[in-house]
Amino acid sequence: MNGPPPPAPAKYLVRDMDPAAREFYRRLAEDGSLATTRCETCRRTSFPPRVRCPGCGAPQEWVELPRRGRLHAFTTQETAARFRAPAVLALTELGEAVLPGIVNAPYESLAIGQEVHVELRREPETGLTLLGFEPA
Amino acid sequence: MSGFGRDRLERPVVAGFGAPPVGRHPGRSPTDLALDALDEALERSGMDHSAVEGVYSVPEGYARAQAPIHPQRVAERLGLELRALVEVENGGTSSMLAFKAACQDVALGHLDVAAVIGAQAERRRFRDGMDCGDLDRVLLLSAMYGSYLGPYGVITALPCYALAAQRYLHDHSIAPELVAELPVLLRRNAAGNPRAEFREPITVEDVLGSRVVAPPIHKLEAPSWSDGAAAVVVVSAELARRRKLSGAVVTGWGECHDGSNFIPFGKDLTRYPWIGESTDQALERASRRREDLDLAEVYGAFAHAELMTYEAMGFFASGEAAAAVARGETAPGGQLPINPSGGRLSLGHPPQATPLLMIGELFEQLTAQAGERQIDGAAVGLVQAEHGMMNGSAVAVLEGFA
Ligand SMILES: [Zn+2]
Repeated sequence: MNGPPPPAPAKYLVRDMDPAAREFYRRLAEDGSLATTRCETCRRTSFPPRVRCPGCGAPQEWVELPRRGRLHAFTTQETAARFRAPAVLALTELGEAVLPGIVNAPYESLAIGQEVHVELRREPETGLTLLGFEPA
Repeated sequence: MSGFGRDRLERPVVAGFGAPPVGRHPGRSPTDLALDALDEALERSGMDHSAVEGVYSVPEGYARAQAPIHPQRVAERLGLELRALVEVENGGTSSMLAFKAACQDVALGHLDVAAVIGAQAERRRFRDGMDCGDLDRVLLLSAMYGSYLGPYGVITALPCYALAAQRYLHDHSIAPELVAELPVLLRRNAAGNPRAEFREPITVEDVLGSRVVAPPIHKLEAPSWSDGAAAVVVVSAELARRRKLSGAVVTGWGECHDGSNFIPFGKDLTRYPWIGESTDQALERASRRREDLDLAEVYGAFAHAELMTYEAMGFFASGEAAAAVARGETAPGGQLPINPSGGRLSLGHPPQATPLLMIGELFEQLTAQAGERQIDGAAVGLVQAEHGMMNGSAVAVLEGFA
């Protein structure tokens, strides 16, 4: 990861990241870009992003993902290591990809298929920029 | 294709099983418990320690800092010269895959007596780690959940399974009351299992009245963080015949892993083709059909996940498993008894030992040693283990051998 090293609490998390994950988080933090990879040959979009296409092995290009999508599934975490529990953890459909993030709304107010938009949130404890989902 | 099956000359036979009761074992290390289990397994097989030629182990759990180079420490305690000494790690399937490694060495003729051990004794450590601010341990766990879940604070499998459970109820319009029938049945099964951690009967009302630990999962639909251990002795069929050992012969193996960590992002969270594929492979290798099975031990771990596993294995159509369980089709005496041991929810779930406990249940059933829970005439059984959030699965078919 470029720039200053992340603070100590993220040491294992960041240490274990593969190059594609490092680039995913670099784009979020430095460019405000929410992107994943797509195969240059077979046009298949991957999430998580990958260095090579899982389908055909060809190189990948980075493509922007839409900032609006629909809640695919959501729950709450009683013990969330970096969030004031309970956080609402969700998988959201953003174009051809499904990404995890934290929903900024009470669990009871949400429904599967509900439209949300992405708000990037910088986490001071990890130094990472993460996805937040706001009901539309 | 797996390296052993019906058509090989040398077939691996499970000839012994041991396990202390699942639950709490304060003050005992995982290796202490595993070696207790091995003592019992060897004693039941009628062999002594000196017969062991290979040891197949797994890491000592998840939350504890790993003991470095664990296999050699086990070898030192046994004080035996060995022909195989390995540790296998792949989440919930770890000890299942250690069992596979043992079977392969036996099938290849490398050795005749293999000991597979798995143990976990970190309930207290895990809780202390959370409560006492052992940040390092928490952060190691978050790294285990990978680059896309760890940063959101995921440090247990529970929220992952909850996401899948929500889709399962939603996509198939399944009533929570129907799902709750499964923990009730598993608890009834566990009443006949002296090793089971939870043996008091429960009702559907108890399940739905228990705390929601991660919606829609209730406490009684989730496993506890159990201490436990198990050991399985695998021998060659030739040795089993020579020494007149009874046991369970491994006739088929299947295995399939998705290219993902925990959650297969972007795929249907209610269908697990890897589980189906591994089941098909194992049955094909064994030249068996689903109708031939007398019982199955299925991983499951959470109630909704267990039902989805039954469906993925092809025992029921998608969305149909809960109703089938409620009708008694998986109960002892039903069409296909599943998890007569009490399953993860009532036998208890020390993940590093769980697949060996499941293999042990098959061993006891197929050798008519299952006591109160004996399924009459059990001759063909299947065991399935998974890792992550059901994104990989391993299956073995075992058959009575005498
Ligand atoms: Zn491609």
